[in-house]
Amino acid sequence: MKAFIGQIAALVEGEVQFVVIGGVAAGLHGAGRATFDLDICYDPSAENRERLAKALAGWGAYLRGVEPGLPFTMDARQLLITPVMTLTTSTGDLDVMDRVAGVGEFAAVYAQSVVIRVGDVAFRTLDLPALVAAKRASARPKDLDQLPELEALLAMRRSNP
Amino acid sequence: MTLGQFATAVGAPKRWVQNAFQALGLPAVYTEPLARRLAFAKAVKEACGMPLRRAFPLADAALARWPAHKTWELREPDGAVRVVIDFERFLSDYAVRLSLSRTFYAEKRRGRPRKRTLRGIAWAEWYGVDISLLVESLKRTPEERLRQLDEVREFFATARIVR
Repeated sequence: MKAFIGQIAALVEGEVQFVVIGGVAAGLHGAGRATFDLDICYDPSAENRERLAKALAGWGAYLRGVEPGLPFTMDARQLLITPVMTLTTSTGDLDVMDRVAGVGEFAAVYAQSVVIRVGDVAFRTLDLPALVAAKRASARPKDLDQLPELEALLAMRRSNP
Repeated sequence: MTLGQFATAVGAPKRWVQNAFQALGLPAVYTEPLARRLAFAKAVKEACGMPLRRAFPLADAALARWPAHKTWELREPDGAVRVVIDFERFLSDYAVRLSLSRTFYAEKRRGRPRKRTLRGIAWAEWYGVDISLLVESLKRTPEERLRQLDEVREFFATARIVR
């Protein structure tokens, strides 16, 4: 796996409109758990789906958790039909989706994001209150178990802005 | 597979799956081959309005035609083509949903925590752990994993929120 910043920089360079969510977003806000995949919410407009599909196809994206050799076409149509995908790529594991539970569609996700800078690369990540809402809405055991940590971070930030 | 994973692979709500099982007289045993058959029958039903009870028996024979044939056609008695299903597209869509059912889907936690009856990987899957990430991680050498953790640490150490 390459560094997250390599994946993010390539998406930025490819002019893909996206917001970083999930474990990397939690890490960016200070959560202590290690994460090994990058989760992004992307703008589902036709042009952006084309750009994202092109980037993913260039990285040889394939589905995680299924046996190799199944027919899989990484193109804009696939993102339209199945907007949520868990992928393994030459740049690392990557989950893509066009909405976030508890936050909404891309426009709402974008509106509740902040700009992050790593070196020369600027990108957007879900803000902490929205991340807490997303984890609460997902209600999967692993998400709920991360809530205390994120809510503590939120409380710390509010008490010391 | 759980009902929720099965429904994710089929691409239908859980209630739709339960109704389909009842209509088809199937026992509530959720397997991947059955999910593929039901997904195909659902695609036929949606494409031409054929009742599920008629579409489902066609699925096995139709799916057996791939990869020798690229498409499956349903014809009218007069020979006119009623439905064409592109196998590669259907199977690609199905593979994405199957991947999600295995890597992304986890039951929502509701009510009181139940007594733990699962162990090992089954417990981790129920908990929501993406086993495929662990599988990918185990393909790397310890050195590669250490480098990866360093990269993660460096990424978070250098990231700055722009106010």
